[in-house]
Amino acid sequence: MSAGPKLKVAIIGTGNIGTDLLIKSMRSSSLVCTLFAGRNFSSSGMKKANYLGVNISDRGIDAIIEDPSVCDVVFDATSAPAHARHWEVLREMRKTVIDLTPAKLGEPCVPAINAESCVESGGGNINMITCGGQASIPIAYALAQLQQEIEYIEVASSIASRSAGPATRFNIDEYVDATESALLKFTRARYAKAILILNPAHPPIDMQTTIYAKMGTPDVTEARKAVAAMAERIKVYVPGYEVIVPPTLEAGRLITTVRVRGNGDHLPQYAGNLDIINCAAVAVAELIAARASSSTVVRFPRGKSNA
Amino acid sequence: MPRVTISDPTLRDGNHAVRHQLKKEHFAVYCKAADAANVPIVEVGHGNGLGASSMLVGECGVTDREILEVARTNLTHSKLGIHLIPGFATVKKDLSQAVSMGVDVFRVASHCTEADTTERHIGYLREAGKEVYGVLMMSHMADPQTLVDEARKLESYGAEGVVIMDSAGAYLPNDVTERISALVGGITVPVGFHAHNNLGMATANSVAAVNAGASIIDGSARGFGAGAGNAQLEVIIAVFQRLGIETGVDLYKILDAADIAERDFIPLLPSISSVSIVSGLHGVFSGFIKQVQKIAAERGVDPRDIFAELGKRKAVAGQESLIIEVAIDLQKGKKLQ
Amino acid sequence: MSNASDAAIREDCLAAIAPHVPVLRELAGRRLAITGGSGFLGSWLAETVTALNDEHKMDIRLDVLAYRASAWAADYEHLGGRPDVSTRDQDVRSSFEFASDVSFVVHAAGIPDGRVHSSDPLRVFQTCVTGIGNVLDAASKLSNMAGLLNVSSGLIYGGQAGPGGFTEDTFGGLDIGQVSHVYAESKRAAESLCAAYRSQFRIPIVTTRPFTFVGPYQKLNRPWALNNFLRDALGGREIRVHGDGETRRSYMYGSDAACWVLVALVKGTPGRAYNLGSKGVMSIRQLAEEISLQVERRPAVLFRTLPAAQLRQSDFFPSTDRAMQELKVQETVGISSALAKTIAWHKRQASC
Repeated sequence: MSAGPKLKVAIIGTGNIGTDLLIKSMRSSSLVCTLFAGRNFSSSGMKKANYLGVNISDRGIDAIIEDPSVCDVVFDATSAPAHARHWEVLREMRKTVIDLTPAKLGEPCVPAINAESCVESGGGNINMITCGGQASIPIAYALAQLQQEIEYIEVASSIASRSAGPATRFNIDEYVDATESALLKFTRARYAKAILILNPAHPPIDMQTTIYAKMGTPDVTEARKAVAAMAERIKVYVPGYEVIVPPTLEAGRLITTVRVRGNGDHLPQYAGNLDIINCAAVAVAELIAARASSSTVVRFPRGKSNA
Repeated sequence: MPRVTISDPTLRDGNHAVRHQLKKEHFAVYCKAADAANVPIVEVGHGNGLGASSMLVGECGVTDREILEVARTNLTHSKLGIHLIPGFATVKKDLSQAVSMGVDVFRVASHCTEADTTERHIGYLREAGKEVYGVLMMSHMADPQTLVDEARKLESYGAEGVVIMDSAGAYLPNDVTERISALVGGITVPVGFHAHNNLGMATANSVAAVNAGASIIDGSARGFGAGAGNAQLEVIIAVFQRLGIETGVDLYKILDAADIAERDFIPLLPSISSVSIVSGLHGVFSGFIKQVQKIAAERGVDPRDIFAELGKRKAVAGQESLIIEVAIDLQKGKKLQ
Repeated sequence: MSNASDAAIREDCLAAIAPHVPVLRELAGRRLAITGGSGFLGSWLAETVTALNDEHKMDIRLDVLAYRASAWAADYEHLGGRPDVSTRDQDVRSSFEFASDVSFVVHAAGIPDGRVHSSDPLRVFQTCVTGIGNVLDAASKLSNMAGLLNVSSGLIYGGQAGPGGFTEDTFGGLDIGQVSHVYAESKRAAESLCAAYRSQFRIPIVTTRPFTFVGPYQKLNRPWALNNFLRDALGGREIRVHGDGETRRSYMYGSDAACWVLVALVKGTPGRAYNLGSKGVMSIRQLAEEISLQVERRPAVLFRTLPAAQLRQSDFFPSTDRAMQELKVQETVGISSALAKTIAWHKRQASC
């Protein structure tokens, strides 16, 4: 890893996701957050950023328009409709955008699967799908590799009620749609279904996602190996990721459950759902940074098994 | 005479009892019979509602589309209703289809503290000109004031009535009186009640609800429904008749409908099992039953003690890991004795 | 969305302001800023100010500040595209400054949408309280601050109205600590903050407390009875009345509302509050029936009322004696006419 200049990232959206991204960016050795932009200074994220000495703005995307050199890469942590507007501008400016909304405009990216091709493709818009998507798609993909065809993939995620704010609640449909669409793309399954459940239990539960696959007669041993290997790759950028129920055959379907415990950077540990999408986004940015400052081709970290 | 609207979820809640395997002909025959009995709203579908057919909660034997088609054909006077939970059903995939297929009544449900997940769906359905109600499930898990707060949210989104469900069958009549009164005093749209019979109180609770001001009551044929079953429709019609509460439902014809249901698609009449009693007593989600029994067997503890402890800890669906914790604690407790 | 100026709306504004032109001359050549300018009241104020400019050559410069002001300007080019109207996207939760030559401010930023009260009460509270704090702060820095009007809410009264409606000096209880009262409480807190700024910074602040409005520029998908009825009727469906059909409201037409606001801004006594609403009290049932009469297909009116709610009084209408006596304002559009105009406008919008 060469110690080149850090990649300049701007974050638009100063809610919980944006603020957590900020903390992660500040901790990264290859990223520097040069702009934290939102719509109003009274948000707690803004106050935190200000306290940390980060350059803040309440002008939203206009802050980048006014000073294009402020950043190389933009994290968009606003909303799908807002992102659509931002992308129109940022595309013109040739900025690379890592989109954390379910806008589905860019290349859907799961770092453990396709970080490299997303970064290489140069399309400029890398979409991080959804939290449930980041948790489940790599596993579903690993299962899909075992077999020619998957008939049906189902992903059911439970997140702590306390980790779901107004934006999450208002956009459950978008979450389901984006997750299903990415599931189909990555697994080429004939049908996909995504379910989201808000669990009000106290103390708040960690994010848990169960993947069900209908896929002919899978070899359970092979499935367990594949899933374990994929989990290792994910753990490189999501330390709190764990397979808690390895692939098990029940009534002809493969069922496996993963749990994501958050890092507790800006949000409580139970908000693993928000943590995983941020970890994935930062991983992509770090790959961009590594490539920008290296003369040789940098591969995405593969984890222990190096598969 | 006070007027109560009956909503009949025989073909929806009852689907839970047969693991969502009701067949097209069952929908057809019961819809016809309920229609003939002037049941105001006939609710159909997978037990967890529109778009819920899944490996998570069970796959439906018939698609939503097929169910709605056959139900729509067989209902002329009665309104066709469905239940739906955001997170399972989406506007694009599920609601728009249901709207275009002529569903009349939509009951948008959430856990009793998560009403704000329903805003989009209620809004979409009201825009489409449909009749929309909000539903609060597992309502015993929130205190009356919280239920009022959540019901007010539903009202603000456009719900034309709010129904609270006693999903675990945990209420006694006084609990119902307290909650329904609070709701009736706190919102301006009609209030409804959906009973479960775990403690043998479904009928009494439904009467208490009406006395406290509820004007929508759910009841299904023979009580056909999840767990210990719902309020038995024919029974509450008879009871309401005696009490002078107008429902518009024809008593003899609803008795006939229940006979048909029993004959055609109720393999086992609802009864109150030991597990139902214990889960109802402790207000625990009935879906835990299989796992509690499995884990209790593995660890040599009494499943009924697990339920008691889960109830104390206010366990909610999705906390299956808690069952193991509780079982381990009970094991340790036993060893210390 | 109609980009062309709507002649009917212009006529309504001119009719409303006609008797007040001498008083409103106070605004001539001055710069007026409206926060929350993209809402119902903001839009009608823009219509009224541009009417004053075009017809009465008042040369008022209007600054429209709103969370999505540029989108509003794009939707209503006949207002946003004018040289005498400038727009700025500004979230009032962020501190900001007015243009230095602003001398009048109408603070209409707020979130009256009940759905947001339910789903995001924190944002509602912050927009109300932090919002007005920032507006007052910005106003306190102006050299020529001649008047600030705070658009509060009739909901601050709490309790039950007297037989003539809520009066400006009777306050009832609000059950604080309940999420459904966050909006009303935050509006009360906002008025309190105004009192503090008035005392400490000597800003001349007049308060209006709006009740219920009707007219073009009102979105039909907002969750109030009137909008629901109009939406049902225009959609060719029966009109459904929920809750208590005997609850009484009154509906003030947009041109009257904007006119009263401007007169209060210029002529109101600082430190005083004036109700903003119509005297024309009617029950929800009567409203539904009136709307039904106005729509060709005469949709049926269906009642889904909660019997118990009928025992509770949740009438919501103002006494407007103070405004009428002290500001010499009156209503120029009655409810039937208001409904007819509104229905016609929605039809015109739909056909664009």
